[in-house]
Amino acid sequence: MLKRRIVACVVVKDNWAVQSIGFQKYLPIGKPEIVVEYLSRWNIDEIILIDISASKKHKGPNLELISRIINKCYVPLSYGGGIKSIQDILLTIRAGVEKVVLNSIIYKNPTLINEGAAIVGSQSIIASIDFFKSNNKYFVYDYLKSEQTNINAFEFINDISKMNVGEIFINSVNRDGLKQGYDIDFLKNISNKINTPIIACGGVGSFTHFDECLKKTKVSATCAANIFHFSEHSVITVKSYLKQRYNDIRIGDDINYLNFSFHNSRTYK
Amino acid sequence: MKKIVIIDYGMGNLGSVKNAIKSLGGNCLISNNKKEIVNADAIIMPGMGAFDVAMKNLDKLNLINFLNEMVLVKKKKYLGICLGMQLLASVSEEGGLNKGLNWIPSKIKKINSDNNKLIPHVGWNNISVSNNKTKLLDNCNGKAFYFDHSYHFDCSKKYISAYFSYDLKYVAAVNYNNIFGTQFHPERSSKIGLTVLNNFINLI
Repeated sequence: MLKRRIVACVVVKDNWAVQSIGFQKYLPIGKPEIVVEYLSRWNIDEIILIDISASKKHKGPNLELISRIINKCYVPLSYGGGIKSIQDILLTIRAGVEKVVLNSIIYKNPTLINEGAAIVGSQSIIASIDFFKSNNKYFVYDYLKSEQTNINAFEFINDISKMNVGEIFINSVNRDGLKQGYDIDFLKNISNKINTPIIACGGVGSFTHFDECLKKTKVSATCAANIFHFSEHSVITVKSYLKQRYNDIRIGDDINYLNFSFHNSRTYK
Repeated sequence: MKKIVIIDYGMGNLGSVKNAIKSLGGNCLISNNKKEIVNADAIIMPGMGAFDVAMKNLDKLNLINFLNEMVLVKKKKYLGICLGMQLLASVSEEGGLNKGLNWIPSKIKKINSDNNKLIPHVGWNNISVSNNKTKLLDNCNGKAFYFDHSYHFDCSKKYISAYFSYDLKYVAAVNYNNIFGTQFHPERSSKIGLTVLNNFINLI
């Protein structure tokens, strides 16, 4: 049976792995290569590396960062940040990742999705859309300008899903770093609408947030960034907790807490 | 020590396969140079990407007839990963109808998306081993590996070593004499993936 994935997003700013809050505040965590090594060792299902400085500084993809990271990673790795052309896509994959994540370029040049897919295969193209909730409506958020747009997020994601895209990474700006859980309403609606695998991100503060997302939505992967930085064991504890409740979670044979009784949900402060 | 050449035909992420083999103590290099491939004990064709582009690249590099000789005549051990396995087929429906290497009579078809199945088939899925005579899949039955593809390998039972389930049953691994293929990515399947690569190194 295909498992749903627990994915870690490693946000990198100026070559430091950071904790992100509301897409505005960034607190350094440490070296991204160490973060990736530990996540891989602790058996995370997948890692998405996002360099948020690359496009802002008009640089291409951070290939040097990828080269520092790949040696210790034995789980699937995706990279986003500064990818603007076919050449960028090819160089990024060749540098050592399975999939590229396209964000800001989608608005300027959406045809890059299909053009890229024609060469590297649609499975290697992830479209990343940040969404902002305002007055009970959902809009696409432009992170380069740090502002919400007038574009209806639900319709936009639906349109993108009809292109030759492999997966769609959906990130809530409002909930980023707040530890109050995912935007379940939005995720439930969009995952019921489209047949493209969705990676949900933004808002996780405790194990129960993953639980809620898996129970109430049809997303293919639940992703978080900050929670995995605050405890070495968080990957294994999260997966053990979820495996007790769901069949379709992957858990390694070696170390797990399947016999542990999780009485209360744990919130990281 | 046995030498493995990872074929560079411009498709996908080669570094992770090399990295994985090296971490197992294997001796490998990435190349599309015939002189280096001729001296290899085994060949790995990794890859993710479009089938038609892959065949065009192999053709441009003048590798198709050469690989036929190395694998079908000289019988070097061959491991195709994901796209590298799909290239074994006679024909693929991806990007129009395109011819493959035709080393295993088969057709590459789109995965069924009825019942709102998400496409691509992406994530960790268990395999069930049906034939492990060659020991490539030792200790792998029932284990989860990483898959990421929209097309699947359709062939006769006699070539199939393992299946995965996605509503329907599909081919997860194939074998025909010295030729092996895995639809999943052993280089990205953590410890169990390294087990498969280690098994391959041991059977060279």
